[in-house]
Amino acid sequence: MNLLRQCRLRSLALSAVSLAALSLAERSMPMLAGSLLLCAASWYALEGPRGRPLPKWVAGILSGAVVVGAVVVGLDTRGLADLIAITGRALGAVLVIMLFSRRSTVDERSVIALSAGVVVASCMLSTGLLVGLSVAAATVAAVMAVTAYRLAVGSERAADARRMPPHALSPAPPPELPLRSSVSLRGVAIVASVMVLAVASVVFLVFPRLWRDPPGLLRRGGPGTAGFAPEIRLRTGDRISTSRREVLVVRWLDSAGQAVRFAGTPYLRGAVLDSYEPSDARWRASSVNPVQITFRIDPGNFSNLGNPPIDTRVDTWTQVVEMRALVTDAMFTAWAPVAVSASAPRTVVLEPATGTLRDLGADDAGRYSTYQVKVRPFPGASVIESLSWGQRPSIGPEEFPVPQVREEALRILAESGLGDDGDAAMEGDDRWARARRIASAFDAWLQPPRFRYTTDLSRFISREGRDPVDLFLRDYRFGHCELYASAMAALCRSVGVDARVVVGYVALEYDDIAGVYVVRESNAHAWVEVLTGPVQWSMYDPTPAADLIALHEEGRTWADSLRWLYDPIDFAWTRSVVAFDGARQARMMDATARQFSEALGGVVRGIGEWAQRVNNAFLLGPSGYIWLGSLGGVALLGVWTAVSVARARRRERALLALGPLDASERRRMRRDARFWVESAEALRRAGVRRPVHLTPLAWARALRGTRPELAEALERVALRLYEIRFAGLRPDADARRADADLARQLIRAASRVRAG
Amino acid sequence: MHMRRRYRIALPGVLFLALVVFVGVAAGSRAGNLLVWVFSAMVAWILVSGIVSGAMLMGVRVRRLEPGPGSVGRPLVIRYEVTNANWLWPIVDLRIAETRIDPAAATQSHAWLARCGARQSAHVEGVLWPRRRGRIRLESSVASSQFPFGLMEKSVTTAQPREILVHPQTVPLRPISFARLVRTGIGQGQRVADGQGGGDDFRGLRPYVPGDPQRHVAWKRSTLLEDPVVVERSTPAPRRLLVILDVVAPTAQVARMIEPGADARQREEDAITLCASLLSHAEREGWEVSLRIAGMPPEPASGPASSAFRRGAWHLERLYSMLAAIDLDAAREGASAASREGSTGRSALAPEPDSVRGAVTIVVHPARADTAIGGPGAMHLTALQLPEMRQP
Repeated sequence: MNLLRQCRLRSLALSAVSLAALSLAERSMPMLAGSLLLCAASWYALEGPRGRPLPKWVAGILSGAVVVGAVVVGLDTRGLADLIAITGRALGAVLVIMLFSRRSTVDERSVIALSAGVVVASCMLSTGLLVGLSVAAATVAAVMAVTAYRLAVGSERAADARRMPPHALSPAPPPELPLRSSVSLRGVAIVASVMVLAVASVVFLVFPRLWRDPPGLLRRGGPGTAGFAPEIRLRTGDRISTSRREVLVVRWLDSAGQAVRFAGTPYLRGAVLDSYEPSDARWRASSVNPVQITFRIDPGNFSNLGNPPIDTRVDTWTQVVEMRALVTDAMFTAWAPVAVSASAPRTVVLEPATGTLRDLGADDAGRYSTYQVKVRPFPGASVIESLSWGQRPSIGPEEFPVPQVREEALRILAESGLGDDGDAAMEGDDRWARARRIASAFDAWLQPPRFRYTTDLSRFISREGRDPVDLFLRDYRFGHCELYASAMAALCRSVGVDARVVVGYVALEYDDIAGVYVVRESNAHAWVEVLTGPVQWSMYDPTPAADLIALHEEGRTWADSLRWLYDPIDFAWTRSVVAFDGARQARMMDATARQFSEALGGVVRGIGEWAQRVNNAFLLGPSGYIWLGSLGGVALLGVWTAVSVARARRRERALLALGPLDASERRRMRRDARFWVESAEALRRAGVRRPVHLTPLAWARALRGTRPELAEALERVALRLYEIRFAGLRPDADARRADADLARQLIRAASRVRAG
Repeated sequence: MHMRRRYRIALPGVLFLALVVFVGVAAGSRAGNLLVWVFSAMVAWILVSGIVSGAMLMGVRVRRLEPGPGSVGRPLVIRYEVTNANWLWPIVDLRIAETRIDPAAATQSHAWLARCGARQSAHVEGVLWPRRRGRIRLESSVASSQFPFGLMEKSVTTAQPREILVHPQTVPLRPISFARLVRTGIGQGQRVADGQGGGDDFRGLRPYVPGDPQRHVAWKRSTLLEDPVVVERSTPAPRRLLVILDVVAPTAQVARMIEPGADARQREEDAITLCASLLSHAEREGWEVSLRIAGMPPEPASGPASSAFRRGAWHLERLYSMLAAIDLDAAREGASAASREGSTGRSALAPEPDSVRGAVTIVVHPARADTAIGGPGAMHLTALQLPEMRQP
């Protein structure tokens, strides 16, 4: 295999990994299969028995068409994520075209650059485990491809340089271009890859993270969010996640510690959204009531969330949550949580106004992975009062900020026979009864066949000046749970009934054998809570339950049986990499600095203790430390001297060519030919160095032209060296003195050169 | 051997840096740790590129092996010995070139080494295509590499000053032209040798000495003499050719002699080329050749033997070197001065009769033939005859 072919193979591997990363980021299996097939086909087209690349003009036209198409589609796109996706797809398409049309190393360079672009786009689209693994693989593949490319370019340039110039009469011998077997780059590439991965990991850990949003939120429903987000955006027009990935598992234990199954469907509350922004059609949590109660949780003990404390021994179930994919600070609990516990010390915040729990993290780890909550499924007024910590529910605006919704609400109430309740201003129990009546009417109104549940909003087209809730209620009448919940909350609010949207998960799948509820990404849900008492919120879910169950069932595949293997790894990835944010980075840095200082302190302490022990053993007294310090200094000096002597010996060995001699001859030569070592050293200091290809005598003769003041003396010294080193002359003491004098003359001349 | 290391960011490195900045900004502003990873990997590429290439070139030792003389238009292979003193890291994708080569003097093709393992040596070849006759000075060789990622170019310059001699161009001559030329010479270069040797000519008979091969015995004569006698052969006596280059007239004077607009210096070079080609052709055909240069002082390096009639590649190299060493800008020995020297020096206008007895003498003039040079019987060529003698 020649170098170009090797380069082609490696860049093909890089392209395949990049396209796989993009396909996985897009969550498109057909795209993955298609791109890999095209990669294989391109190799066959180029390197097969009738290999022939795509003509350049065809490739140019196809690439141009792809770019134009991407620009046209991109102009009609609003979201950044979609724009990046389109760019990524366009780069991928051009990359595939390039794979079919590459001819030279220049084309390989384009392939590598396009692959890098595809990888960057993939990283901006998703933070999933498989995408991450693909990106890591692409990093290694890129090292392999670029090293092979460098060699291929070098060989091509070497061959080009040997082309005969116009004035030449005969060609030059061709360069000796190596075959792959003689240039094994595997070791180099592997070491370079390991170094790249190691340095990249360090940079990754110290990169400043100043984001306001939590990581992984570029695309809703992405791996970092697992279908859950603490807000609702009605204008994004996305198809919500139908992934079967396990987000968490919940086990319910009764008072006796036995696993139980709910009679109904458990709803796990994650966040309460009580504020609607019509400008961007977004539900979010308001900051009207910022009161938060912080609890420090000790492992194994339940922290009571009530004020006064709630009795957790009666009518209380224990909810044990084990996270599988989702990394968030929201803690999912059924209504109503009364006590919380975790396996590690943590800090938890209770928002009395909403009854939601939030994790503030721990000192030594990132987001939580397991926790336990004691829940009162049917709380009485005293329990709710206790949980509210004296806080009254924050009352939202009397009217929903979209006037058309109120018209629709009044029309619905009139049709439902509740026309009198529309504008009624009631107090006390009548008010709560009216709220229940109105909520039930709206809940019933939103049921099929009048409204149709679907997760595909591709035909839910936004219109200028129309709110999505209004469009859902009056025009389209199809949508998913977010639209159902938004519509019902909007209808309630528009007629003066306080309502809020709750987002979280609905547990539909019960594993009889393990005795746990398995909550999947597709179980992310939104529903409504309506104020039906002074502090009492009642739950309403206008989304048709049958459709929710059908949605859950339709995505069931054989792959679900393997999720026990994949999901823990995925969760570890999400928890360790995706959710690695600024706070965790700061904690890690603190811990590292602490450990380092402790280690350093330990070493210093150890040395001190050792010195003390030695001091005590020899009864040296306080002055012993001075002696020990002096001893250390002498030891250091000894090491330095040994290194210097070793270096000098090595220099002597090279200068006198002592390699082939035995030990006694070496000793003799060091003594007898010392004058040559000193002379060479003096000349080196004077900036006159012997070229390695010249013998001492040839060097001396070569210096006649440039350094005549040194040449003569050097020649005498060199001849003397030859006699001793190669002619077997054994000088006596007088001769050695004469040799030393000879060398001194040369050294003096060299000093003059140095000074001058 | 003085070595100097240099780092230079290559163009792909500049583009890569711009991309790193772009990805860094994107990673800093957009929540996504994978993007941070990509940025980290790119930064790692830059650092590793510097570390790897630095470690690689720290151990590079490049030694130019003594190049032989070159020839105009012919590739001159320059060999380098690359030693990797590094204990761990191999040298990969190393390019070696000579610095400060005058483009008018030679075109250069770099040497390329794909890989040299740790603590190993390798030999690589670069090529020079000399453009003109004379001396080319090689100052230093620079070994550079953009490995592993092509972001930075690192180079080690090793000073190894050296001069190489470039022989004049030799062109193939028409055999018929040369044959006609030497046929008109006195004796056509043939001669008889006196000594006993292994030639073809009969020299005489002598008594048989034990050890003589039996096939040398002259059986008929031995029968008549009743003692065995053997045949002696003479030494081989190849034909001799003396080429005299006439550079007596300075270039300015040549310019006046040739047609207006023609390049006098080029005409002189053509004369040198013709000389070299004649010598080459004759030597190839088995002639003993000699060269004399009229108008130039003796070249110390060439030595007195250069004018002797000899055969062989070594002798031819010496003659080429004489031609290569001609400095046309130097002062010429005028015809009058040369005449005074008579036949004692190589700058003689007329060769001494004893040494050239039986040799064909050809005098090559850059412009106009000067019959005073070469003596009687010499043939005179001008540089203008080079194209017609040249083999197409």
